[in-house]
Amino acid sequence: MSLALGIFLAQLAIASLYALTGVGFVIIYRGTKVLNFAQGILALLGGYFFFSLSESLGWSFWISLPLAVVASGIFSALLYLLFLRSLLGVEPLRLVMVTIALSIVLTGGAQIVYGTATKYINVPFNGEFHLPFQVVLPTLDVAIMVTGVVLLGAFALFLTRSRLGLSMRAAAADARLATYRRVSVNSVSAFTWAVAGAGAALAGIAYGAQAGLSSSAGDVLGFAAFPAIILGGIDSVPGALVGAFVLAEVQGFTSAYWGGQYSSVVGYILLLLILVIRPSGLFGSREVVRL
Amino acid sequence: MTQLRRPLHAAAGTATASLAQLPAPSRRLTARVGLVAVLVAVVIWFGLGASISWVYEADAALLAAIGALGLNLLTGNAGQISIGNAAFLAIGAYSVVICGSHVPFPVPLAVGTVACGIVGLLIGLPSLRLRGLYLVFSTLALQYIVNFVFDQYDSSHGAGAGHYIPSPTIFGLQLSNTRTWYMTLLVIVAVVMILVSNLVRGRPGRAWSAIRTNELAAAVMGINVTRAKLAGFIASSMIVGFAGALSAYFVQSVSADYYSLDLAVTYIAMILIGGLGSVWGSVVGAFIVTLIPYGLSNLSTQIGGGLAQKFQADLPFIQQIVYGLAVLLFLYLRPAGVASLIRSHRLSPAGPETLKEVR
Repeated sequence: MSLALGIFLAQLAIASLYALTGVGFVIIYRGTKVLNFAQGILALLGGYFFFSLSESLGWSFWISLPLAVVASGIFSALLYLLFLRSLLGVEPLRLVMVTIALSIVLTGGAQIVYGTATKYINVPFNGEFHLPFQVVLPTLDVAIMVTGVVLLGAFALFLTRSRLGLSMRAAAADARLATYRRVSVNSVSAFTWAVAGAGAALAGIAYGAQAGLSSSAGDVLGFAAFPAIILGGIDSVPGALVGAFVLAEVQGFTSAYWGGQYSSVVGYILLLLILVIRPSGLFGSREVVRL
Repeated sequence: MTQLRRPLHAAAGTATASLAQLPAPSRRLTARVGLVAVLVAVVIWFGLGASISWVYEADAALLAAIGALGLNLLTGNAGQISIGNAAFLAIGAYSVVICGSHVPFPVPLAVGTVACGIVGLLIGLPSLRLRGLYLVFSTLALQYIVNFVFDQYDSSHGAGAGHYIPSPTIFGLQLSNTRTWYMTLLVIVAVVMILVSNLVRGRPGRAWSAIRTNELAAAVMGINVTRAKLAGFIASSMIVGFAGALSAYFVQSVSADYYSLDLAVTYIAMILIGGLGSVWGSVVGAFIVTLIPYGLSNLSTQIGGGLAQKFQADLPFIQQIVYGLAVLLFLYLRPAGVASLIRSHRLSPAGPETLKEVR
């Protein structure tokens, strides 16, 4: 009982990581129809930016964190403006390949700048919580959970309540109609990429604090959330959250009871099952699936 | 009547004019035959005369070309995106491992090819009945599942360093020499090229091209879209699996780590650089992508001196960056691939232009 509860709670932090990268993937796909395979490297770079600020420059956590997140957001928007905007509308494969090639280049660059050794990020959350049923939960996990819940909740409110959020949804739904209503689709798309980059950076920093940053962390962060996105529906923001939760819990219990090596493969088996049973995911729109 | 006669006269005029030019196509044919003859001569001369390390790289490129031909059939012609090539290469290679020395040489190749066809059917069935990019995700899942399965196989057989595959023997001739491989691979690649172009030019190819342009319109025309896409995926998977099985005999060592997502990405780079939907493009792209790292490492040893010393530690990353930049450069400067240099009137697949207009 206490074991199961412990796994359940610890996996909530993992779910939060998946959600932070997954939501970015979903809004980029919805807004610009790009399957962004560079999401992982955006997360990794966010973690590295934070590392530079806090370890190399010695700035405090509370200054480094927002700076690194904002820098990653700007970086991500620049990637879109410089490399992807001119290509929108071409075959999806070329867009996918551009994001892959960008992440190859950026991973190489990151390894030259930061080296191959795993970089650990220090955060001011070192204690642990002692909960009922002898469940012990690291403060870091709690912090990651709270960050995820607060930020994603705020983002959901932003999408539904604010004018800019409304513009984002309008541009994603129909770019041409949105321009008729004086939405600058171009800047909204850049903003979408910035939000996705910022979310990925947070995930990268959290992952760096949990497991350390190396080039393989980029792959882990970039691809681990895929089953979650498909489970929730590729074009649904709440779907990404539910998908992240389900995926993290399934993975947690599988690795606890069967062994850690099954952790990632069970996610992909889940992905295949969803494609068989309900390809639009739990919350995805049906129009994606016609014919 | 007079009005009618004039155009008829004009038509007759052009007919006689084109009659006078009749030798032109046959002259073009002669030129083409001559070009192919020169190409064959150069290619064979290269195999006999070039240094052994270059021939080895050419062998690797020819093997990659088979896989690229298979992938391009799916992506370039049927318009479906897969990132499962490394998985199919692995299934082909491990078919050879599992068949072991129990069965004579050509049989494991057939086993690998058929196994990939079956896996292609199983993976394609759920995702290809849908429109959109679902094959990307199911092949990504396949990649991870296959990698996991063969990784487990490696560790349960105590083969962390890889499984050894002895050289095969055909008609009493042992295939172990790099140059013998080269000649054999030339023949095989030529056969696969002819096979693929026949498929593409025939009824399945026309169905794929209709589906790639507009699935709904293709369905209205009476094409069974799901079946055609599935057939394309199975054919593509079988060709890639065959390449994987053959490569296992060439490199003689198989381990699960090699068949990574990065490997799958290099094949996508090959067909994009070579040209989507182009048979020659697949081969050219395979050569370019295979030779980029080799050329880079050659270049860096030639630069030599203090500079190379200084960058020695970062060399693999610099190579990685140059490779990524080269792919990007091709994607922007030559969007239709190298094939568009050879044949400029190639039909470009129509994409949704609306997004581009707005931004």
